[in-house]
Amino acid sequence: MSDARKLQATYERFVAQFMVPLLGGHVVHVERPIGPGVMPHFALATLSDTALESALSSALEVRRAEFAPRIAVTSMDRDALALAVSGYNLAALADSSLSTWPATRARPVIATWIHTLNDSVSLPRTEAAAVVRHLVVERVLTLWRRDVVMSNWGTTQEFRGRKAPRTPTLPPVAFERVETRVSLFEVLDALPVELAIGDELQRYLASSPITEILHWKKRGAISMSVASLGVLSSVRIRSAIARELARAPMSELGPVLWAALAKAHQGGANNLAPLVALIVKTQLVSILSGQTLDAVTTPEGARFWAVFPLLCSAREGEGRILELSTRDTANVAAFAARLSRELPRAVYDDVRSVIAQSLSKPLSHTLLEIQS
Amino acid sequence: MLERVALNQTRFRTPGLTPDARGVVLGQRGLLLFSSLDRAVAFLRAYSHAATLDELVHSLQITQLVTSLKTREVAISFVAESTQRMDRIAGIARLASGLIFTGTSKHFVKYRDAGSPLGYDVSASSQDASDMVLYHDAFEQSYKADRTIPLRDLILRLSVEAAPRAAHGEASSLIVTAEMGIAPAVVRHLARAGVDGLVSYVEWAQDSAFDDAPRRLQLFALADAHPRFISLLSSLPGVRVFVPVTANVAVELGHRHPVALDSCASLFDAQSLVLFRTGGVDIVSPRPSAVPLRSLVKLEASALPRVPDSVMSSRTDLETFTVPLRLRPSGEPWRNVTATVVPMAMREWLLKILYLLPADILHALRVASTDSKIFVLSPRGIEGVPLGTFFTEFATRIHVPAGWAIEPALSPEVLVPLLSLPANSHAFFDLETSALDVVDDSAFGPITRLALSAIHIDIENAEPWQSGDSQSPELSYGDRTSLPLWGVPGKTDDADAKDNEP
Repeated sequence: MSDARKLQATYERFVAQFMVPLLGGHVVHVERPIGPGVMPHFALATLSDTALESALSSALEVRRAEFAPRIAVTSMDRDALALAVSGYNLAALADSSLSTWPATRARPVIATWIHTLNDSVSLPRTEAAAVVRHLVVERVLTLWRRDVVMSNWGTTQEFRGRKAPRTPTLPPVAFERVETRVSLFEVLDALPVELAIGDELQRYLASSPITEILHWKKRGAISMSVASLGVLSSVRIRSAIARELARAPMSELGPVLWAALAKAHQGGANNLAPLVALIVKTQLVSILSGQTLDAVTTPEGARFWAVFPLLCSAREGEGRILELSTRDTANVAAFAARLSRELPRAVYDDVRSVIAQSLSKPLSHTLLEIQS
Repeated sequence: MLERVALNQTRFRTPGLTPDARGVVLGQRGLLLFSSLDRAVAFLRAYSHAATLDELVHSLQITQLVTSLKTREVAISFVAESTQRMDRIAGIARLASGLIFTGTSKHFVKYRDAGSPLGYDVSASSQDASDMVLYHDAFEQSYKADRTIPLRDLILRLSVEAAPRAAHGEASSLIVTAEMGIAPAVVRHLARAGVDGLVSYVEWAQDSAFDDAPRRLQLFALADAHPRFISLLSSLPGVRVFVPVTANVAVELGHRHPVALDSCASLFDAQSLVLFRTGGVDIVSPRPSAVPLRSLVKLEASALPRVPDSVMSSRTDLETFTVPLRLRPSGEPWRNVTATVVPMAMREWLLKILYLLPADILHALRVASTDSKIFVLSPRGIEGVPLGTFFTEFATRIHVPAGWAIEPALSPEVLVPLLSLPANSHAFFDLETSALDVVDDSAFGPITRLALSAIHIDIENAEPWQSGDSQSPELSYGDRTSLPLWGVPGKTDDADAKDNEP
């Protein structure tokens, strides 16, 4: 078989066994790793099997419709494919069979390939590019492995990510079968430090700004990079992110969002309007979905909630920010009034000064931009 | 054919019968037999007003049965659950000329009555190869199932009945449909009058090939429309006014559905809107997107003329001749205390008391609620509910706070015409504001039903639970190999990989 045919066969196998089940939430199948040299072919390759192409498109479409129904994603670009191959190699790296000699010598090579693939990914240039790489990276983050350990009084058999026999293959003397579920990232965290896979995972996550923001629970913080502010400047992506963020309790998320704004402000950023807009949008979604105020217990939480009445009371912006149904407008106004009443005046003044200094334009202009 | 069940009897010839803790025999299901469909509908009507159909809906099955003589009867079966529930249903079914049976799958025996308080068993079960055999003290009959009638279809097919005096009552919102020709004029008129609301466009495909075009309507959801507009809109040809019964079901103004629709709310999809009107039913599914009414109004340069102040001031001159009714403390003993008004803040207490009340007091209570108050009536006396402000019935359906009297001391015969209350409405004098709270009698319902369906509903935005396994992709590996990089495509650094090749 020629090289071109091998590459095409690899591409089709990669899509059928990894990409489609990954996006569809089924069982992905990982065999030998894939080198970064395939990318020139992968970037231009088309699938010969139309059923497979249709399966990939519909799996991508289902994920996209769940996350960002208003953004059209037609296909996977080169960078998203590179992140998918990198994710595949991360899964291959976690294969327990690589822990035994001589296979163990493959791990540094695979780690280098992951580094090369991550390095080849640039900042997303369009809304669709940002969304499609989020769909891939977010699914890789949720990969998990089923580990089955069967043992009796003298022998132990391990099936980590491999199918275990249904009936005991060991003599049934003190026989025990233990099945556990472990996430891919837990396995990768346990790999030898020399591989520096922790740094590579950070870079992998940072290559998808949307995923990096939504993955705040893992790190306990949201870092505002140029790429993050770039995706937040899109109204449609911002709305999608806000909807996802608002699923979390505001008692946990609020302090994190405020800390992100305060940190970016201290760092000297002077146009943080997209981040302010994300905070307001998240608050709006959470208020309308019925979250209560009981959780304002920390100073950061109080500052987070103080943003909302501040923007609602901005005279020029009021009409724009509250383009809601009559009932929702009344609920939101009542919530804002309650916040104004209950939050200390000092918190309110503090937040006003931070927001005013974070924006390059007057507040009312920013409000118009936020809602435009 | 039938034998009375004796106390402590544990073995029965009818398959599936078991005694409960009191010794009453009960199968897994209850079955009501009616001679015709209209009798079955009469039962459903009566039951929906006395209790909530929602508790039966999940197991309720309406079946048309055929006897060997090809006569047709209707059976309603449901999960029996307990003898208390069966007793309640049996009482209502007997009112609708129904026969009550219990059993499990095929054989159903007559449910207990006064003649045999522990129920009945058969002397010998039938071997007939039919779908169902019913044993009664007057007959033993086998049936074949002809067809199943879904409850929702049955309710949708029932025509609304005229109720001329049924006003829109306490409804805070209305739904109005307008034909496309008149809709723009309705929009302009409502917007000019400052009525707040949402407008959406709905369309249905032709019912038959003879219809020349799809049916199109504009749907208005109006909040706090003045009664003047309601009467105006309902008098316009091409416009229908509906009063919401639940969040997604409405009945045309001046009519009511034979079945209490709020007692079977689970039958109707939350994403749809069902409009019962004279001559049929319109189902809007899914709900179309709506826009504010004022956004459809054509903008005009000139403002509307204002009403001159002189015209408005003439009204205040008349008011100087009126004598307001007042309440004064009265030392007279309390008589005929039949109502209490409980603030909405004490709702939880009221609900807790329901658990403690004996059945006879509980069944006598009728309740209606507004945003701020809960009105509770009990013709037997309200002492069983020690909450809120007690009211004595000063005249028929006119309630005055207990311990207070009306000043000037008018007689009931004089007071009633002066108040000019709507027919069939209750009036409560508010102690704090001396205003009159008027509640339509149709708004009152048994507290046993309303406490569950009208007062204490918490609508949660819940989503179907999905296990992590179905969402998160699982990893599986291929066969073990000692040379994992052997033959790998796209290798760039051969030096690194060479060690792994043979």
